[in-house]
Amino acid sequence: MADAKLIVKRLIEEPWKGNFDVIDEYVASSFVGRDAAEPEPIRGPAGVRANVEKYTAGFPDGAITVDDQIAEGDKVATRWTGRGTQTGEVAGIAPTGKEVTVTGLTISRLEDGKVVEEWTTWDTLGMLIQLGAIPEPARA
Amino acid sequence: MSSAFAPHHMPCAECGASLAMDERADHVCDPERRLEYRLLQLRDEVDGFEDGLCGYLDSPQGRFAQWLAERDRHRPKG
Ligand SMILES: [Zn+2]
Repeated sequence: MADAKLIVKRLIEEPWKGNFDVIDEYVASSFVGRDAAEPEPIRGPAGVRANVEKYTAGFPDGAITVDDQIAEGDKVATRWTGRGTQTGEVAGIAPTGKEVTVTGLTISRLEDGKVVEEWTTWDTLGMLIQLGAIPEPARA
Repeated sequence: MSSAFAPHHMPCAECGASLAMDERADHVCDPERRLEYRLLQLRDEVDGFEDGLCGYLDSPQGRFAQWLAERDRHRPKG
């Protein structure tokens, strides 16, 4: 069985390269993902794929890079950076051509080599400010 | 020092590239990226121009102008 950290890394990075096979390979059918930016939990492999596609539609060149990981017991904590140019609509925002960089943290729980549960928080406010949807706070 | 809630990265105002705070001073825009960015910003204007042109070409004045241009094109020179 692949290393838990590697499973999570591939699951976070690969779908953004169009490799959706990793979702079927590493997401349990009972998967529940809680993303602070989503009002409803993300459920199952189809939910994970739909969530990625929602963002790749807005950021077709988007990519996520895993910066750091810590594993303990059945959980893996991952710190990641996402970067992409908004050439499609995102959250009702028409294409801006702006490139954004956001960071996030995901905790994944694995069972039998598959991710069954996930908790994610990421810099949604930063994304909205970078896209100009929210005014940039004045810098001191 | 930066104020609370200000992101570490912001897009370059000229080309849209994502720049970290400490990259801004040394940043030089990629000309291709800057052109693409400008064209995207101007897309409403470009679309508006095309709509305006199509509307004009369909109007009696525009149709006459096209007829006149076509006639002049076929008129022997000299
Ligand atoms: Zn630039």
